[in-house]
Amino acid sequence: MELSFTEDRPKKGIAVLSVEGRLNAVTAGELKDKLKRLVSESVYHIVLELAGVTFIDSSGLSAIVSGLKSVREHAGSLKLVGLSPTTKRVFELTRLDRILEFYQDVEEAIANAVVD
Amino acid sequence: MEAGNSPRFPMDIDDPSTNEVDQAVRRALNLTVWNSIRPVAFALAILYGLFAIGHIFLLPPDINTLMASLAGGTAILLFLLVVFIRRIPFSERLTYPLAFVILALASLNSLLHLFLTGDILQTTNLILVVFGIGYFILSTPWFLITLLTTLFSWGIFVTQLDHPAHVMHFGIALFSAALVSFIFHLVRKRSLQENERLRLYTESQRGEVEQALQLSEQSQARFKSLSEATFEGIVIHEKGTVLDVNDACAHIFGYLPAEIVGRNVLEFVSQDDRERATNYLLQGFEEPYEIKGLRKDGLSIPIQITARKIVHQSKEMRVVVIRDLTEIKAAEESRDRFFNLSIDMLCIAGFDGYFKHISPAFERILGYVDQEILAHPFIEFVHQDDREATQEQIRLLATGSDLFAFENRFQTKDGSYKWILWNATAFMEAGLIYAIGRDITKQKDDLLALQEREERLHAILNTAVDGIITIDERGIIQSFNPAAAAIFGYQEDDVIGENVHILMPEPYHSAHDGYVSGYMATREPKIIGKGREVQGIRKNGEIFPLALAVSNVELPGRTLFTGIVRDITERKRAEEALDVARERLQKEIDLAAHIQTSILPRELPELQGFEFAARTLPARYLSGDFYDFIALDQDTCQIVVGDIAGKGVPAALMTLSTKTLIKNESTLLRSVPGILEEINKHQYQDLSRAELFVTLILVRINNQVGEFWYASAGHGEALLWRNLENEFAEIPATGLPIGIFDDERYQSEKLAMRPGDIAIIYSDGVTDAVNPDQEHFGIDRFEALIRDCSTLPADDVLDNILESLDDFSLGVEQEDDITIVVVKALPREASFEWPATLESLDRITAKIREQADIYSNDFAYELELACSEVVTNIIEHAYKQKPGNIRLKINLLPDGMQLDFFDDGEAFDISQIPEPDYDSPQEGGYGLSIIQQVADELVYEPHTDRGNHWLLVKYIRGG
Repeated sequence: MELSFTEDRPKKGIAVLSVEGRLNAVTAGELKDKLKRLVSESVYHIVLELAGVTFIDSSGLSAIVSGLKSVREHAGSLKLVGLSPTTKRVFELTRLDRILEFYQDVEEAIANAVVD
Repeated sequence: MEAGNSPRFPMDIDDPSTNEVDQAVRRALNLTVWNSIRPVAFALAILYGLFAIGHIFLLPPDINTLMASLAGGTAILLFLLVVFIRRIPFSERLTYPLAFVILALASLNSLLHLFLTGDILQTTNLILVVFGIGYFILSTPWFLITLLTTLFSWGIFVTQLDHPAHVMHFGIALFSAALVSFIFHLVRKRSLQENERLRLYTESQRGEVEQALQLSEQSQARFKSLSEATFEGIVIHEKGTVLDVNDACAHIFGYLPAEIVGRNVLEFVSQDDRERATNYLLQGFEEPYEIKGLRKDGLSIPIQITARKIVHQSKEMRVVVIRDLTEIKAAEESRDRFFNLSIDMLCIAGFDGYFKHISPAFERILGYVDQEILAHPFIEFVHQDDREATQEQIRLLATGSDLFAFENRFQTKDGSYKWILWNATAFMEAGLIYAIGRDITKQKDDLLALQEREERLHAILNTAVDGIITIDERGIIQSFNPAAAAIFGYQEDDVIGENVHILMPEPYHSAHDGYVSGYMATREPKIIGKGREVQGIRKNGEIFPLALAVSNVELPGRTLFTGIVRDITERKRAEEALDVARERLQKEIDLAAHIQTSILPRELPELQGFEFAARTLPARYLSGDFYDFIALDQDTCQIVVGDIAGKGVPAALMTLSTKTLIKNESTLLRSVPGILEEINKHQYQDLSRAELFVTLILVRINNQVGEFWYASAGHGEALLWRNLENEFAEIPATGLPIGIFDDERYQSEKLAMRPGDIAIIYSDGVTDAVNPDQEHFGIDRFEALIRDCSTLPADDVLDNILESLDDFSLGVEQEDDITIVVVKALPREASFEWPATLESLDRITAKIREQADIYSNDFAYELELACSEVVTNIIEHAYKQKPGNIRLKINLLPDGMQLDFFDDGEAFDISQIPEPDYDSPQEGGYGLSIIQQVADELVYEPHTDRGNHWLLVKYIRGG
């Protein structure tokens, strides 16, 4: 199984990455790599749009955390949008829902990214 | 004078009653003579007695004896006459003969003296006799007879004498004497006659006067009494002044008679009418007229005056008869009231054909105004057809006979006719007909209606196909219609009056009288109101079966029974034939039923994790429902329940073909909807032709995969009891029944049956089952029942349902077939094995998800999450990406799932795994924490004999 990505650069330095698929041990690596690349392209504000993600386990989580750490090094941010109650579950179970930022929609996330 | 009527004395000579007078006069004269016979005879008797003595002495002896004898004899005879004549009633016939005899005796004496003495001088004696004759005899014929006899006798005697001297001298003397005597006679007679006549006249006059006086007195008396007795007042007045008044008149006016006499008649007339009365008086009006009289007390009374002029003693007077009309008027009013109020039409008509006087009822009943009726001859109002009869009746009335109950029709104003019933009588003296008519139109109509009803009834009786016999309470036949006559072979006359039991063979024949009397005593209906089959016996002795219905009719005073009979010989024969045919058919049906039951599935399927129970109960012999279990492979079972819309043989035949078809089409290669579509395609023609359709539900259970797929062709009769939720879920139809459209597409649905869930697929005969009160078993009762026994195994659930149906229907025969299939999901497990590679991760989690989904979405996700962690852990940490396999056992529990993972990789000490730092995000290390949080139970057993063992149990919340 693979993930599918859709990327959008609304402004310089901000990217909206829409992900579709299951985020588990199989595919977590793909996300991690993708996020790394973005940072390497000097995109430090990333909006992860995860409405198309049907499953996230701790592997998927680790990819996201890795991405978070990366952007933080560059004073960036990683915002999460489009999580359903079920997919948000893993964040709740790991208390990462307190640390990560969740937004209702992409525009909001972008707007906040600018403020950052 | 003799008693008796005096003759009416004629006033003049021409009066035819002159004869009567002459007779009376003659009679009177005769009576005079008769009355003088006695004294004369007495005198002469004495005289001749003396002579007799004298003769003896004075006469010469040769003659004295003879003379004395003669004289003596004469004296004696005369003496005898004197004595005896008293005894004899006056007789006119005897009068003159006696007189003659007396005179003859006298003459004889004298003549004999003359002869015997020869002395013609003795003729002087004879002259005396002659004078006596003239004086004595008043009848001229007798006078002459007697005189001439005497003269002649003298003549004879004288000639016998010897030279009589002076014969001529004495002869003339005698002749003269005779003449004188004659004159004497005449004069006496005349004068006596005249006297008598006068006397009679006077008598008669007196008589008349007396009579007249008597009459007058009588008349007077009569008048008096009349005038006193009469109710009518009588007044006699002269020029208005009252001369005489009777008591009645005085009474009418309230006066004493004396108070009225002398006053003016007009004083007794009411003021208003005085002028009129005066006119009448002056006119000498003699017709009766009505007027108002004035009483003493001032009251005005209606009186009728009839007055007449009379002349009395050359004075002109008026006699007035007064009638007090008060009572009459009152009576008239009273009569008029009756006349006017009478409901019936009262009338007076003349023989001239016109009504003279009609009561208001005429207008009320006929609608014409009085004038309209009076203006036309009454016959014009009579209906054409009745005119001749009416004329005839009038003619009869004219002869004096009364008319009684004559009906004719009178035309009303609006043109319709009314029936009138007449009574009439003729008052001949006045030439009037008095009649009373009654409107009997309604009665006539009612009568006609009644007659019509009777006729109709009679027609019904006559034309009825069934025999109708009526009997009285003794069982005697009163009526017997033509149909009954045909059935029994008797004529109506043969049986009327006979006891009805002649139509019955034994035992009815003897028992029937008892039945009737029993009913009359107890009034308990044994056959009345209910029909019965009995036997009858025809005239020819043939006994035959009879359908009998009896009803009773209560009339005042008696009871009648009506029996309707039908010869059911033919029917009975047909029934018997039918029974034979039915029996044969029954045998065939039994055979067919046997065949049908023999192709039912013999065994219930065995599928791990599921229990099955099934039954089909035909309503009659053959069922239109069916079920089938088809094992597609060892993990997959297909359940079919079908209901042919219809019953009996056609439906049953259909079930067989459908079942076979399904079996043929059911392979794993075909999806459930696909099978239905095939069935539909194949069966469509036959079903269309037979105008049938089939509802069908197909359920496919794969317990490995945990799939419960179903497709329902119009078969909504399926329930799913959800154990966790404690409620029923629907299993709705997913397409139209088979046989509706030939190109119908079917959908399938997936159902998850968790352990404890019960699926019940049934036919509508279950919910449509009825009880004696026509209530339906219904879905509510069914669901409640299943709910109550949901914890029981499938068999018990089925038994409970069947028992409950039995209890409900209470033996009522059901209309519809009943089929029930019970599928109960048990706790089940499945074991799997995969290579421990990341590729397997998705597969493994998918499998788990699949099973877990039957519980709930959230449950399933979390469990997937936990399992993903476990498997990832096993792959990455236990096997560290080296080859190996993961073994998984999934246990489906009623309330959750148990997962047992087994691996052969490295074990770890679970207690050594640190908790993640929640304050700073890490890239890993959350796994165990997640598992621990999700699972309700978590056990990690390293190195068991089956390998490292992860045990995870999660329960579903709420349910």
